[in-house]
Amino acid sequence: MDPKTSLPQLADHTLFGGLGESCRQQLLERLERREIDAGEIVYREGDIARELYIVESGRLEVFKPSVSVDLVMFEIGSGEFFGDLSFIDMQPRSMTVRAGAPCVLWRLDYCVLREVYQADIRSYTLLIMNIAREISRRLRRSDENRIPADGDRR
Amino acid sequence: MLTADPAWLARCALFGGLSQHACSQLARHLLRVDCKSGDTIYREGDGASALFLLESGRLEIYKQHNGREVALGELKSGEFFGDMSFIDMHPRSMTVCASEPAVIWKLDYAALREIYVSDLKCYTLVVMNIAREMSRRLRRADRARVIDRMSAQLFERATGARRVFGDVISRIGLRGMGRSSEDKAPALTKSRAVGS
Repeated sequence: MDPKTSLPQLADHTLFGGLGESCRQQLLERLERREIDAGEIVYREGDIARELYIVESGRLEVFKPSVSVDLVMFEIGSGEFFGDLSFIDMQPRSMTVRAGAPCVLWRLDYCVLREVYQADIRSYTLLIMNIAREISRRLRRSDENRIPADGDRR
Repeated sequence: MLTADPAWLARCALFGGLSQHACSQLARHLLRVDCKSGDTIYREGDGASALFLLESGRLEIYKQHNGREVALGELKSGEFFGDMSFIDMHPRSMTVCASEPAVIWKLDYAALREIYVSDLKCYTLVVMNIAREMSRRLRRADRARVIDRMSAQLFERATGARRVFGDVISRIGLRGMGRSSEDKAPALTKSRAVGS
């Protein structure tokens, strides 16, 4: 199978929303396909890396190793992307990601984005906005779920 | 009209990486707002059209939960807020009030979009700074959730241990500890009698 066959669907991904055709093509060509088996670790907490992953298929678990059993904090499914926080803020990975099923991932390295910045700053800004929008969505969901039980009443 | 001090702006996370010159250009877009203690800057659910920078004073963040308002924390001088709605165009997710007199600077989203046209590099840096700050907040929130889950796990284990321990104590008590477990003994003897 031609590994690039899945690219047309990726072109419509929200991550590339609003981008011009040529920039989109340029980015798609620079994505690296990665196939991983169930149980395989994509990256570990504390790892230093500036890359994000788009999930074409499969399912992953984001977890924190704990006293007896790992604490699975999130699940990631096809169409979603992850690894974006380190991509944006250059801090080490905050959690470990493991495949819960065989997965096909597409890896985007930050150096590709730097090239976009140099060639076309408008597209770069759009990409950052698209990632920030996803972070914002997760932040809002997280705010909804985390209300301290003993918070001060007003 | 009062304008914000460009040197101070350059030290704020929102404008990190910007030159003093860019900051003095930006200062022209900032509108000073003097808040009295108790003033509401915006409410959860409101439509949004500006982000803010806290210069001095204290602001408190609240969120609705089960029909009541819960305090979620304070903002410190130099911090910015109201940025999420700029990114995702959704309404305000929280309420912000002054808990003591405060000086804040208001930056309209429209002004920020003007900067997109007049100085794209500057705009890009500001967007990057906002994204970085949101990333930091999300990491902090995730960390808090991990701590919650870990303490729940530990609590569960401790409760389990206490149950086992209590069981052992009451059995030892039955055999040899005598008086200390007197009040439990009759019930256990009785249940034993039923069982046999």
